[in-house]
Amino acid sequence: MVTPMNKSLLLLVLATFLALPLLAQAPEEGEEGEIFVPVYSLGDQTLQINLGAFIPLFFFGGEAGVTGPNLTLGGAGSIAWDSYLSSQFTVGGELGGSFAFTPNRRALWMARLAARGGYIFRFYPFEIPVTAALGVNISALETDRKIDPFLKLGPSFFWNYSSQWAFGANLHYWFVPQLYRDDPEVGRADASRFGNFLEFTLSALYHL
Amino acid sequence: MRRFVLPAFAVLLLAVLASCSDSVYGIFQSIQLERKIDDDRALDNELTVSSIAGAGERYFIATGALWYRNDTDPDYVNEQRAQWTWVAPPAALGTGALTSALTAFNGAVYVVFTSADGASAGLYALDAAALPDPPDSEKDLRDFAEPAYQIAADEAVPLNAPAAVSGIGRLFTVDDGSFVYLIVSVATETAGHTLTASTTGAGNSFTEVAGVAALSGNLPVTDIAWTGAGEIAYLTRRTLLVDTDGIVGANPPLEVTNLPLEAANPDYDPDADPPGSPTIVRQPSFGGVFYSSDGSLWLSDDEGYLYRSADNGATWTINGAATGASAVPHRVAPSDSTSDPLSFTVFAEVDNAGTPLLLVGTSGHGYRALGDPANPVTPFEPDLETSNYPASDLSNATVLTLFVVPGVTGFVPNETGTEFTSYTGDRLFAGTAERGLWRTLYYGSPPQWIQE
Repeated sequence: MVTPMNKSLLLLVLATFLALPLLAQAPEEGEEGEIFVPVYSLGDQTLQINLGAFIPLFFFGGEAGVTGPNLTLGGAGSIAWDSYLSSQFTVGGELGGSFAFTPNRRALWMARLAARGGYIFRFYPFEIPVTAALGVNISALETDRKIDPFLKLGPSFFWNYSSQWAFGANLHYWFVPQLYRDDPEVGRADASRFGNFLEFTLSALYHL
Repeated sequence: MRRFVLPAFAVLLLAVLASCSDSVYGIFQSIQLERKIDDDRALDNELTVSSIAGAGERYFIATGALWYRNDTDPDYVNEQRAQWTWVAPPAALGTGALTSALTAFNGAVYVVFTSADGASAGLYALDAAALPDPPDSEKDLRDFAEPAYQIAADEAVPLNAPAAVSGIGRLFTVDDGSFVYLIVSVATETAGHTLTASTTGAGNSFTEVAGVAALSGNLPVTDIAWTGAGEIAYLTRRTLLVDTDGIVGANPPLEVTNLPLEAANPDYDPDADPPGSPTIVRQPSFGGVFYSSDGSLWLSDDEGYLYRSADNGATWTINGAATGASAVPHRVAPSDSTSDPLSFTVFAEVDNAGTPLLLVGTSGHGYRALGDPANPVTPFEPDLETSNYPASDLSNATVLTLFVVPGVTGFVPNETGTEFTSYTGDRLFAGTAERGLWRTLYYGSPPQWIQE
C-alpha cells in the first residue's frame, strides 16, 4: 500500500533526480565530448549535497534485546565538504539531518555534525568512494533532546559528468549509541539503546 | 597525539551525558517500546470534551456541540462500529449556541446550551433512547455535515428556583440515599452562584439547595461528590462544603475550614532582617472532589497536593500521609524537586479485576493512578513497557472529565494495535482539553488506550 508518507518520499526522490542536472554547469563550448581523467592532489576540494531516504534498521539494548526499529521510512539530507590528501584519500566534514515517524506519528528528528575520511576507488568515468564519519548526533522526540556520538560508514557511487560535476548515490550505515546514566532523580534506569539505520541518498558533487 | 585524544574524549563524554529531558525514558527506548494507539471512531482528535454521560444505551459528550453514539456496537473489530453524530442546538438560542455540560438523569440526557453571545442559556432534556441511530460508519465515515437531530422548543426545562437565573453552569446527578437528584449550577442576578435541584427533572420542579449560596463565596460549584448514604461534598475553586444528611436534610452543608494548607515559605531566610515567616498558608485552586469506595473523601488542587479525609472532612491528611509519599507537592517528574507541581483535576475509581483503583486527572500531564484508595500510593503513570499510554497524546493532555462504565465487555488491542482480544472490565473514558476523547478497559492488566 502506498501511504501518503511513502508517496511523499517517492516524490522527494524523483524531484531530487530531476533537479540534479539543474545543479550542473553546462559544459563550456568546446568542452563537450572531451575526455577527461580527473586527477586530484593535496588541497583539491569538493562539496556534495545529498538527499534521499532514511531507513531505520533495528535497535538493540535493554531487556527487549534486538527489536525492529518501530519507525517508518524517513528522509535524510546532508552537505559534505572534502579535501584531498592525495588522489585517493580525502578528509572533510558533513552537516546533515534525518527524520522518521513512530507508530503514533511522533517525529524523530536527528541532526548530525561529523568529521569524515574517505578512500576513492576509480573506474573512469565512475568513482566509488568509501567513507567513514564520526561525530555527534542530536536526537529530538517531542520535547526530549539527546546528544550522542555517531558513526557512519559506507560506499558511494559517482558518475563524472564533467571535470567539475559528478552525480551518484550513497548507501551509508549509521550507528548511534544512545547512552544514558541511570538517573534516580527522574526515575530513569536501563534507558540506553543502540540505534542502527541506513541512509540511501542521491548526491551531486562539485569540485571547488 | 595526546592533544587530540583528550578533546575527543571530552566530546564523547559530553555526548554521553548531554540530554535535555525530564522523561524517565530514553528517546530510542521510548521509540523501541512504543505501542500503536488505535483511533477507531473518526471523532475529531482536537476536541475539548468537558462532560460525558451514558443514557438510553448511548454515550453523550459535550464538546461545545452535543455528540452521541450507541454503546451497544462492538468495539475495534472489522464490523460496523458505532459512529458519533451530533445534535443541533435549540433554534431559540440562535446559531452557534454551545454546550459544555450534560448529565444523564431518569433515562434522559440533560444538556445546557448557551447562546453564542453568552446572553441567554437554557436547560434541555432529550429522550436518549428515542434519538435516531447514528449513521452507518462504513457508509458515512466522517460525514458530520448534518446533525442527526434538532433540539425542539418543547424539550426546554424551565428552572423555577431560584428566581432570576442569569446563567447555567454544570449539571450533576446525585444520589443522596433518599432520592436521586438532578442538580443544576446556576448564576442569579441577585444572589450570585447557587444550586437548584429536582427529583423528577420536570420543568418548574426545582428547589434551591439550601446553604450553598451563602458558603460558596459567590463561586460556581464545579464538582459534587456523594456516597449514596447522605454524605455530599460540594466544591468550588476555593471552597469545599460537606453535608451529612442529604440534599434537603435538616442540616445545611458546612464549609471545611481545616484543610492542611500550611506549607514551608520558600522565601524564608532566618539570616535576613526580618527573616519572614517560616510557613505560609497556601491558597490553591481546587480541581476535584470524590468519595472513594472505602468511604474516604478526596480533594485535589493545582499545587501538587491531594487531600484525604476518612471522616467526611473532620480531619485530613495530605500527600505524604494520604498517598504514601513525603508531604511535598507531587511533581511532573517524581523525585525531581525542580520540576513543576502537578495540577490535579477530577477523580474516578475503577474496579481493576477485583481491586479498586483510584485515578486523578491532571492539567497538561494526563492522569495518575493512586492504587487502592484504602491503601493509596504515590501517584504513578502506566509505564511504557506495558501500556500505550506514555506514547499517547493523552499523556500530555489536560483531563477535564473521567467517566466510568462498570462491567462491560470490550476489545483490547495488542502491542501493534492490529489484533484485539475481548475482556470484561470497567470502561474508562477520559475527556480532554483539545486532545479529544479517549477510552480504555480496566480488567486487571495495564491500560491500552484508544482514541475515539
